[in-house]
Amino acid sequence: MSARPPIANCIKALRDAHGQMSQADLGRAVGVTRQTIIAIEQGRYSPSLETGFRIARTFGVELQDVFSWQGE
Amino acid sequence: MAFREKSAWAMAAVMVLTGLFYALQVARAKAVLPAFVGYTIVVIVLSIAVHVVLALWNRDEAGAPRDERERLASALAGYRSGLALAAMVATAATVFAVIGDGRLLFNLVIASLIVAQAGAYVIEAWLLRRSV
Repeated sequence: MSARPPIANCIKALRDAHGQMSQADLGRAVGVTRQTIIAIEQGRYSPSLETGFRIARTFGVELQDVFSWQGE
Repeated sequence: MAFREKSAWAMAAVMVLTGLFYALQVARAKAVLPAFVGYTIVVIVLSIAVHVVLALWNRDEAGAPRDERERLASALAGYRSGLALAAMVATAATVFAVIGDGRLLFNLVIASLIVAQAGAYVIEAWLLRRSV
């Protein structure tokens, strides 16, 4: 297993801001499972660029509004 | 637990149980072929039965294609179990070169396949649980 990716995200806050959207609903909108959304939210999995863009587009924001670099 | 993880754990259990069944068959049978045919039939029947039950239990997820994380977990598990299989088959070939027992070679190769496949399912389930 690889180390935890140095990428933070605010998906949970965005879900809450969009009418308490569930992880399952976001997963369906993006094309991944609920478990993958959970893993992304918890910072245990770094999504592909395409999925990152899909998440951002679902919330109507830019990619950098969802993800940020936390490493050195 | 997601459908793919349940499926991986269930198939790992099927491979371990049928592997034990195969070992028992080999110990009892005088010929290799009946044990192998019996094992193959049991694996196919159990795999179908397990997936039918899982699909009925998880109707929404069962028909969906693997997502990117599940594909990555599957690929990593296949790669790691493939390395283990290569090592086990090389060991079996070395044993054959020393002992010269073709029946033993056959059973060691089949055992290697069973262990590698069970390992692939366990690794996949573990990667899905811990994230890739």
